[in-house]
Amino acid sequence: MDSNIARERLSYVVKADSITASQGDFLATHVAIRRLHLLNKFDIQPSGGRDYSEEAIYKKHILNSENKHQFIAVYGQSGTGKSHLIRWFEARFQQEKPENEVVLFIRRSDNTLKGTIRQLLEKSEVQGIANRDIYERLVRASVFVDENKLKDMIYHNFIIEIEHDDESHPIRITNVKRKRLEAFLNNEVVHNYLMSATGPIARMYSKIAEHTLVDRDTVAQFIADDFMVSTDLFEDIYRAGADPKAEKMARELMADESGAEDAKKIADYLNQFVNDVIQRCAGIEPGDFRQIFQEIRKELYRIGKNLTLFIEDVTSFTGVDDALLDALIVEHTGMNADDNICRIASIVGTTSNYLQNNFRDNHKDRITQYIYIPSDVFDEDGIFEFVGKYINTMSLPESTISVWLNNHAAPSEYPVHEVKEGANWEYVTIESGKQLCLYPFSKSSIRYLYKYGLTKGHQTPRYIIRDIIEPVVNDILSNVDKFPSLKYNIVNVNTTLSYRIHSQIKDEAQADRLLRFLSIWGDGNPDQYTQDGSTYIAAVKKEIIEELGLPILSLSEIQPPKPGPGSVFASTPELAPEPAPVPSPIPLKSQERVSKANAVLTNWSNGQIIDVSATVGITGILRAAQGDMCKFLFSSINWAAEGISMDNVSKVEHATPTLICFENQTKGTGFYTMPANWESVNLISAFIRWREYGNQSWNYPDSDLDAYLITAGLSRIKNDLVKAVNVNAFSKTSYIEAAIAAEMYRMILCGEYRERSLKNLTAKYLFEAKTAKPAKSSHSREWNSLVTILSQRGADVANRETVRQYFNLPQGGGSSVIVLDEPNLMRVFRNVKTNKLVIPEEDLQSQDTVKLRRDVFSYLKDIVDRIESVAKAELANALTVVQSIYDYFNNDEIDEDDILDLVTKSKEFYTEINNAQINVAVSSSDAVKKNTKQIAKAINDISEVLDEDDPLTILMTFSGDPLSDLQPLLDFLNQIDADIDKVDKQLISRKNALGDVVENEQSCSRYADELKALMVISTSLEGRQ
Amino acid sequence: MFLDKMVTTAIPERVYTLCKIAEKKPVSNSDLKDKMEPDFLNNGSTYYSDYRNAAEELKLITISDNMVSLAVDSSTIKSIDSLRKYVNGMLEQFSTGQFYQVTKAYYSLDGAVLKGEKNVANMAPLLSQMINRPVDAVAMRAWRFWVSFLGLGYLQEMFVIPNADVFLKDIIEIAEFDKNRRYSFGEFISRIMPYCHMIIDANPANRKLNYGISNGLRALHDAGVVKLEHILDQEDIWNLYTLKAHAISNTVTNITICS
Repeated sequence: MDSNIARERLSYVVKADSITASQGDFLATHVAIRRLHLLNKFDIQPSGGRDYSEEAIYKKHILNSENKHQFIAVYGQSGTGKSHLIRWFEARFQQEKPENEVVLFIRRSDNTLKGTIRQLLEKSEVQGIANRDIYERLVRASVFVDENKLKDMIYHNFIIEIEHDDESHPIRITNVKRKRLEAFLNNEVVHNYLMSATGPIARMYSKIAEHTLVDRDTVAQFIADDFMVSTDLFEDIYRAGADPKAEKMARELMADESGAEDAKKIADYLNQFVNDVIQRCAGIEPGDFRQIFQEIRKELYRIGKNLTLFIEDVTSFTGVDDALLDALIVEHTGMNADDNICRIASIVGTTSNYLQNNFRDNHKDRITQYIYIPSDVFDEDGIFEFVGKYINTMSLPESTISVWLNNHAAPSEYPVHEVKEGANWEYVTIESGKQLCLYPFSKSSIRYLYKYGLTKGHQTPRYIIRDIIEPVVNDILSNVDKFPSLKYNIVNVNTTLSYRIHSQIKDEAQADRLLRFLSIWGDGNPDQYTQDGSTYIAAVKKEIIEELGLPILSLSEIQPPKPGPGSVFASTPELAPEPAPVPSPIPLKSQERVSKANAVLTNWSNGQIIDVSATVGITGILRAAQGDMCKFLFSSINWAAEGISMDNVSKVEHATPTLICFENQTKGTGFYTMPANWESVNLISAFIRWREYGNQSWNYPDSDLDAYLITAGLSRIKNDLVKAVNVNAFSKTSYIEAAIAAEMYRMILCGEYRERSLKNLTAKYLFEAKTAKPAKSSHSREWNSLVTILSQRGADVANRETVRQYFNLPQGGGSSVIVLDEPNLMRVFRNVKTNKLVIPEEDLQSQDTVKLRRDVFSYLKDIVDRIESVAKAELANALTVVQSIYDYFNNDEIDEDDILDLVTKSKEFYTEINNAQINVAVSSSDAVKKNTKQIAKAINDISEVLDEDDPLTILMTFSGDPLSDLQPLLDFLNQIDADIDKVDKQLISRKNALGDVVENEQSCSRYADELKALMVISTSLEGRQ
Repeated sequence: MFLDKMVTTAIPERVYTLCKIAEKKPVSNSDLKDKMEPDFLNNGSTYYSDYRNAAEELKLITISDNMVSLAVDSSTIKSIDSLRKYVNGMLEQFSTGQFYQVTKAYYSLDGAVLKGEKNVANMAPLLSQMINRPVDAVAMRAWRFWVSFLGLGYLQEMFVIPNADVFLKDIIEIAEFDKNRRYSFGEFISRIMPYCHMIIDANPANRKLNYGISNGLRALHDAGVVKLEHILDQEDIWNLYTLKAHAISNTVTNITICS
């Protein structure tokens, strides 16, 4: 290459649209096509049959030595080189045409109706044509119209066509639908949607307007997708306040099943008006073209000439295609002989789809010959030559090309540039025996980029130019120091080569660059050999690597291939037939799966996102690899030795975030994010092979490297992983402290720990089997409610198990025996007690991503949030009870003696009743007497906390349910109350039975003794009240 | 555990905890047992004697008059890493023990170990045959805990991938090599050999290092702990297990312990 010239000439030579290149550049880059198919009948993708060279077809059909009417269609997929071939036919024909032949090449670059007409009128042979005034009008018709105005004209002309549909077209819709469609199209939202840059109107506009940059093979038609109404679009239409008819139509088009069908029907219906609308908007009246052709042909006949038309692309003629095609198929013989029109031969380029869908059957029937260009138009040598000729042409001054062109562009005279860069690189030999330098390509790189750089269906000349030649040349011209740059994806990277490069070269950017170069420009194998005094690294000559400023690495020495390299790159498979491959023990299907997964990983390392969300396909393979990595890490790291409790490990294992996630992962998070680099790719690939090749074992070829990679890789990330799963990764407080605090609260609330201070609370309490809860208690409603909450959904059991397992030193996972990490247990236990079960509020609001750890904090929070109100309610409840006792005793300092005194006096009371023969059963004071100590303690304990604020102290006071202890006393006092009441009633009753005894003095003295006794009792009872 | 048969219950973490308790003050057997396996756990059975015996075998503790005392300097059990280093430095004393012999046999399988059983427990018959003494599945399950802890291999579920990186790092420290000095590989081997007969071919004439040792050396090289080299004019050439992909793919003549 000569970069000085190439820099200037690149943009002129490298044109995806070959027709726009100069004639010299066109011929200098032309590579003969040898794989053409000839057909008499249309077949969208013919297979088999004989291959014809362009030269053979030219001689047989294009030259038209029999001077017959011809209508030849050249078709193939977009970008296969139809235009190029037609242009080559035209160039060849111009050199050999008979004298009386008028040749007209209608270019796609003049991709407008106006341009087409102008080309026809510019021919000297038709200058004397009749009706010049019509043509003048046609030329004037396309005066400059503002883009938006012209687009609007197209849009509204469709509405006019619908409104005035006289049902003369084959596809019809009902009147109701037509009105709805009209309203739909008149809706502002729909208007804006269809007028968007990717919408149908833009497509049609591109066929009328000049200098638009749409895909050359765009068909100016509506498609079903244009009328598929999405939910969002419908929302917009609805919100904007659509006409009911428009809304109905939008609703119909939004329907899941029938919507697509309706959209297609509307597209087909509207497509019937496309020609009329475009003609009208371009200022051409239907029928003009047919008349022009008739006039041209008459004129040519008059002066004894024939016409050969080369039409680069009939797809661009939308708007007049029917008329044009009608004109082209009219033969000069037979019934038309009297019209005195000249013979016409047309060679028309079109895409397969356009030919299939847009050519009317009567047009297809009149095609005299089909020429099919397959997508893989070149064989491998053809592709090398194609690239070589482009490199050569851009490295030659335009003047050199012009001289060659003026000298009839003979292959033997084909100019070859003086190689300024890349003299040591690979060459390709062309037809004339000349050698063209491929720099900056190697044959391997062309082969690789053709195979992996072009998508399926794009392996055509146009894309070889656009996606291979131009970017690679630009890359080396713009920055040779970084060549090859990041934009190339390496597919099927050789793990060994990658590993060797990255382990030897610490500069990651240089290592990546070298890997790209050796994988794409070389053979990608981790070998080197010496031949003829030169060292070849991954089949690339060492000097070339040095020339690019790439680091030199040392690979495994192998025997040089036979025959020796004919070039500076290793012998390619074409040059050196590969030995018969040794059958691999790994099924081909597995190899393919691994290869595809590696391709995704390669893209990932180049910055693309990675999807591990599904369980099937390549995504599934990557997901499984991630899972396998996590499993390996869980089992291989000595968590306990790293100070991580196995209870914590188990909780992390059950967490939603995975232990490992990948950078740029579409969904999900992890504790450790693997960076998108080659080290990670190597690691992940190793796990993929372990599963896919070894069926979850290391039993497959070269597994020794993979096993090494994963162990060495683990030791690199172990510290980060351990840190990430540590209990303190999310909060200062460990969840185990929260769990112990919660368990302590639970024990207090459930009465399992009944002391008024934490002093005697030992670790034993945490691990002991729990006793059954008492069936009845005297706690407040709030207290009982919290106790219920504690055991909801087994939360208490789960928390207790956390406490139990956290300090366990388990062996694997198979034993129920607990061996305590006692020093650690005691440290944490003491800490919780010292802090009086208080965990900082911010830690209670834990944002821990491990749910099971978060649950512990939530559990404690549920308690902490309620204890204040529980304590208050409990106090209020106790105050009511204890106050009634105080009232009985008329004292708020009640001790055991007071209670015993009560017992004694109550006994006297019942004795007196008995003596008085009052019928009241004696209430036993045994329960009170028996529990005197307990009752006194309960009253005392309660009295002491009545003014307390600390909820924990209050809870601990009521933990033993002291109100229940007071119950016998309360019951007894109530019974005495009731009995006194009964006695009073009986006394009144007896008194009444005596009649009026006030006048009888004797009667007063008669019961003097009794009265005296009663007075004593009464006084005593009053004192008690 | 090390003197004779291996037991699953004597895991490294239990040995370490026991030592940490005994570190504070001599403690009676029953009190020590009560701390680690108190009755209130209702375990039903006790493992105490197994891990206490392991600690005693490793000379970490002494038992006299039923009192357990720490027999090593506190720095030995300062961390579990220091404990590991201590144990790695004395493994050669247990050459007749089951752990030593099984490890030796496992390493001698070289790269072929990857192609065999996926579960070490299922390798018991093979290893039993190799060392000519009974080894059962339980013993192999016990073996995996210590072989992983001592840095002789990486546990992948029930399989152990041989890689002696951590073990070798400990031995390099014990052997007190000069930092940044380039040693011939033969000298390096002869200095670590007193601690490594278990995993290095006893016949230095072979100059061949198995898969697990080679993995360990390469991992240390990749981590920058050591620098392996093949210097062309050197004659003291040793063969690592061949890994074509690695920078040190096969032969090595010198090693430098990096600072």
